[in-house]
Amino acid sequence: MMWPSQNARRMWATVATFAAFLGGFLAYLNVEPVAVLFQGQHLQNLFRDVFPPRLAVLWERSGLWWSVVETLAMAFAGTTLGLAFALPAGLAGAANTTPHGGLRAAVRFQLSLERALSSFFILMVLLIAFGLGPFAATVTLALGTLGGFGKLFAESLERVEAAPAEALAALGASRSQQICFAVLPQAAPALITGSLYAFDINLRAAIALGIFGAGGLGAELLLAYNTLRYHDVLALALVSLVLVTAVERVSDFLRQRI
Amino acid sequence: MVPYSARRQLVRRAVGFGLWLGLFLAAAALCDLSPEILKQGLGKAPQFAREFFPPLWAAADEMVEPLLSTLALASAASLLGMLLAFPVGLAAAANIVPVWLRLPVRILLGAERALPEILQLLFFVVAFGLGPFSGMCALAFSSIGMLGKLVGDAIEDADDKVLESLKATGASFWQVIRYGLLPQVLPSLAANALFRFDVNVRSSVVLGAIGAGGIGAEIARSMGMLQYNRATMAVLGSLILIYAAETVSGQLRRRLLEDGRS
Repeated sequence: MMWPSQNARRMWATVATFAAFLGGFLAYLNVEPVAVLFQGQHLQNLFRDVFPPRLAVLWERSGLWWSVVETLAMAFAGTTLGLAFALPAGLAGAANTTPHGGLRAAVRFQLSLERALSSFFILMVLLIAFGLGPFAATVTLALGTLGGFGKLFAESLERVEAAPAEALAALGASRSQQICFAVLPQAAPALITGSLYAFDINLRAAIALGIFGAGGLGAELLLAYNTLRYHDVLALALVSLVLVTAVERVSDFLRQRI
Repeated sequence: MVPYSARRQLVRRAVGFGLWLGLFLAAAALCDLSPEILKQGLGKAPQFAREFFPPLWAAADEMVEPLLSTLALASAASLLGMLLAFPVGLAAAANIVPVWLRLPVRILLGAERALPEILQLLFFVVAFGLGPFSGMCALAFSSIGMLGKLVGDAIEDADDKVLESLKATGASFWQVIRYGLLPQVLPSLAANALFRFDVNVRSSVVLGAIGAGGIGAEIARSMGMLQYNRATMAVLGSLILIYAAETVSGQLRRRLLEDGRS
């Protein structure tokens, strides 16, 4: 038990260390937040430039809704493709289902590489390879999904109870029969929940990749931004917000039903 | 004989799967997912391997400064986010503040989490121009979006008895928060902030490419100038940074959780 005075001293020491670190980082970045925030007219300018959102862009700009559909399609196709590869990757990467320990290590390493590579770099490479268009973005999303959800699937497979598989083994079931009838059914709820979650993430990522040149709603945003139509940018940001929130609600609803 | 409910479940699953497949085929058609494009792209693989490898080792020392800048950006944003997440979390907790404050705060936090960081960065760039400050604002905001919600949830789950007994001893509002609430939520806030640091390092690489500087800008610039082996070098640097951040964040988090248990 620590006395309050000691406790307080420790707290102030922690706060001082934090402040010193923060100050150090800001100094390294050549940033003076107080000066930037309060001396300039930046925030007033932002509000003047951006507010109110020009909602007219929603019906004036033909092709906008098509770009929304394209973003949804990229996210959905990317999710499905990624998950289709994530399931075998998860099976190969989980200790209790992998055919070989060496394969497990290789798959795990490859998945971690896919998670660590920045998506915009993958997209840039794929845009050169496959040309401009939604193809490269879809594959980028699929690779990201594979990296994240391959790992997640492997972990949920490893968390499964061992007893049912052992019981089947005692009855003479083969390894693949054990996996099909004892391991996968136990992990299924986690896998399905994860899949719905993957679409939420990918929709957001699809909008972000659009800003890097992948087309869809993100491209509309970038175009408005580059032509200094900031009121349109805000309106399009609101569209993204509604879209992401709506999809989140739908997947919450589906998750509860399953 | 298959029981009725099991058969119905089977039918429902088949319908769900069919719907999913149909949607996928439609989406794939929209996205031009054709084997020809795939074949054509994969045909370029050997040429790509020659252009991207080996990495331009000579540029390694040019990567140190951008890497440090990306690390500083992510660290500053994480610290700032963690410091601000506590007051924001207080304002998002039903047992601390009235509904008219909690509801708008929760809605703002939710909206923040729904928008991609890149999009938020664009707005900060409009205000503050290109540079690390805008990147830091975007990352700090998204850290608050996540940590503020988690702190709010943790406060709502906190043990009321501790707060009640503190109040009974005549403690002021801020004393109750300082001695009753803070010790309860601080360990989980610190653990989540460490996780967020890991996320922020990854994001700061991405944000760098759009204008926050650092290693992301280096990758984007090298790609733009068609110096692909230099881009590989920069990507290698970013991988080292990301793996190091993941390891450090994971180790510290594990130690924090072990401390909490003992």
